[in-house]
Amino acid sequence: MPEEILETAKPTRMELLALRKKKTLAEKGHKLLTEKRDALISRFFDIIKQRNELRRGLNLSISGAFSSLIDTEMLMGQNRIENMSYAIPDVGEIQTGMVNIMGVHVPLINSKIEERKQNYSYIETNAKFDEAVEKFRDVLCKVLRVAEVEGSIERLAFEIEKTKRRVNALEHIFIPRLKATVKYIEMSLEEREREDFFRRKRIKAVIQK
Amino acid sequence: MIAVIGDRDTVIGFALSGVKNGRVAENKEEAKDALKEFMETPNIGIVIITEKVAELIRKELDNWKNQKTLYPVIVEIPDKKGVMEREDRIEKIIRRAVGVVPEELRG
Repeated sequence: MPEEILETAKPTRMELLALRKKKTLAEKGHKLLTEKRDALISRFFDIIKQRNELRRGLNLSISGAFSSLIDTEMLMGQNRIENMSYAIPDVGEIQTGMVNIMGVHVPLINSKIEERKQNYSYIETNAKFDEAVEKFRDVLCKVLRVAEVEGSIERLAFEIEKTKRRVNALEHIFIPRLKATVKYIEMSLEEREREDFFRRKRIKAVIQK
Repeated sequence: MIAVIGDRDTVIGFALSGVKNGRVAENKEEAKDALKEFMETPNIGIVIITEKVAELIRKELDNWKNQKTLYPVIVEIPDKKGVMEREDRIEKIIRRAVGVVPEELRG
């Protein structure tokens, strides 16, 4: 495969010049893309570190929140808790946006949820219920942070894969092919030169006879 | 907007935090229906789904994510029984992008 030459290439000087230009461009592009890939990957690793930390925190909070929830369910019963949950105000819309990390759009999520007045009845609930509400609010905040980071990981991973594919295509297919074609044209031109040279010698000899 | 798909306790738990868009899914059909409903809802920014339910509808979830839009972001969370022992979705994505994950970056 790498020795393959471009089929459209005609062995002319014009074509040779054009191909040389193309080759330089491809090499420049390859260098740039390699740099982009390395930069993306180092950024990617930073974000993975963040994600691992946030995940660990989230998983801990979740198990804590569930144990409170289950405690209060034992005291009040699942159905009553479900009914009480209707009295809790909706978090509503969350603010989302995007940021640009080296040309990649990644999600940006506001993890601050507005503190709203709790208007469920304190008579019908107990302390464990309050605890569960508090803990699940905390879980929600953490979920939002994790969502932002994991969304970023997904987008960056996608971009890294794409850049890698391009780098590989340039490195293993495109540039070798251009090189082979340039070499082929150079050889044909030289060959033609030699033929010409020989022809001239020959004619000179014939004329001198 | 935030949406939740999971078992009953998860949905109740998030309702306590103020997320009202919860669907209880105990089996594959319910999970699919819930997902389909949220796919058709505009303005869903985040989908919170329990790992167990996510595993049931892995293919549908991946299809949805392959639409390559920024949102919704799908977050998989453990349910009340704790974290499932497996390589999670994000870890898979990381491995595919960079090959091996260095030891110090493992979760």
